Amino acid sequence: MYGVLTNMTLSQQKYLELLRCGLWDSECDIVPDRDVARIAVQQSTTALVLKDSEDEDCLQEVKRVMWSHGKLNAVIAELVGMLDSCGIKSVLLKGQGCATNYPEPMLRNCGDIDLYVGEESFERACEVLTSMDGMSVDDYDCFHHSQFHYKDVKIELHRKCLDLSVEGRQEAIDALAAEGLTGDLPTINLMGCRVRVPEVNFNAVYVFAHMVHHFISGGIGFRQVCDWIMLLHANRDVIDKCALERMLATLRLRKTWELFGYIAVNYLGLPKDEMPFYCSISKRKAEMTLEKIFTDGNFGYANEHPALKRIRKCPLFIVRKSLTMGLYTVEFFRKRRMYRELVPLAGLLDMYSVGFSSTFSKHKREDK
Amino acid sequence: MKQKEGFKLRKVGKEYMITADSVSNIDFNSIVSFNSSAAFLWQSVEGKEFTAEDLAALLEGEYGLNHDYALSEANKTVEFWGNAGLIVE
Repeated sequence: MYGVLTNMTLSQQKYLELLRCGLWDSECDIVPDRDVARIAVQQSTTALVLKDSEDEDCLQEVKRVMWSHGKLNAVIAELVGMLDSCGIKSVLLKGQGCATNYPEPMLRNCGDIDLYVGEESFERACEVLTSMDGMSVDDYDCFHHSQFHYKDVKIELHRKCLDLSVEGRQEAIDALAAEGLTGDLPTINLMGCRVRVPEVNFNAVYVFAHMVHHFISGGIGFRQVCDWIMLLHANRDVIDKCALERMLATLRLRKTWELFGYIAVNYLGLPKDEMPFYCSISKRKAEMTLEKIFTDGNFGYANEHPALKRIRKCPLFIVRKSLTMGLYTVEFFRKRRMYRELVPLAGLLDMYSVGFSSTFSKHKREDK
Repeated sequence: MKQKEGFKLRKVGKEYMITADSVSNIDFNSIVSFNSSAAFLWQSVEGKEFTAEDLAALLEGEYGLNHDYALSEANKTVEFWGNAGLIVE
């Protein structure tokens, strides 16, 4: 028997049931309706949840997701082949690499392509990609990644695997990446091309840290949680708990891991023995976290604070800024109370320096 | 010949699609779409050795086609499956 939120709507309950069936490839007698379809789209889990729908629009969306894998994989193979030929080793982060952990990879909603090349090869890799016919540079970020567009696919070329500057843990993740993204790495086969993916234990922590980073700063959908769960499930026989423990301690993420682990087991159906460090936690905290995921949706797209909508209409700049400052300060302390180990006070200073609106909406602008 | 392991036939609405599972790690990254008769043949020979003649016999039995037409359709199906990398000799 899986958990049901105290205030969970019937559609949310149906959605979670369909999601579990999609993840674990089991039969489901629930027929998704329009409300469930809306949630599935917000959570970027369309194909997993709606694959057995009877609605023609939903089925078209499922097919679109399934077909999009071929295009994305072909682009990855082309880019990796190009970088390889120039002597640049790249590592595929998240995305299509995570898809291979699903029972049916093509049922995972596609996002963009994230390729890590590291600090030393970054400039040269940018030059190589820029020289390709049809490649356009969207954004050059000297700290974290550069963004390109190629054949209608968004590509992020990473010099760092994760920008944790807000949480002040950049050195820690950089040090872990130096081990987990270099050397003799596992590969997956995409369109005949051997594509390097991160070392398994690092990947489990990295996918989790990335998810948590977005959870705090903008919002996540269930797809991000499913990626992490499927990674743990697919690699259950090779996961090294000692290595995980060390990395989680370094990043100070152990408590948060336990929180999401509780959700993974009790709401999304991961077997308890496949979740490292599983323990019972406060049900209220788990419910608040689930509610936030339902509200935010994929990378926070679905969520905009209702008060913010009204504030944005205020013609006076100083009033607008004061009100957003108040609203987000409240939000900051609420998050800090719930996820203490993730939100240091420095985060508030970052918000002041960047500007409240832009801090909270920066991830919504990303077309992931 | 027989089907390669690791493929799954999925019905999406009125259409049938072949997808690869993640366990077999086969090099298959596109979707192959089937009509209902191709899906019927695929399901009928799942896990078995078969020839184009076997497929023709299945078409004759299920759809009442004459032998020559059924064999020509079966040969086309085998060729399509072969080109898509779904079967091995």
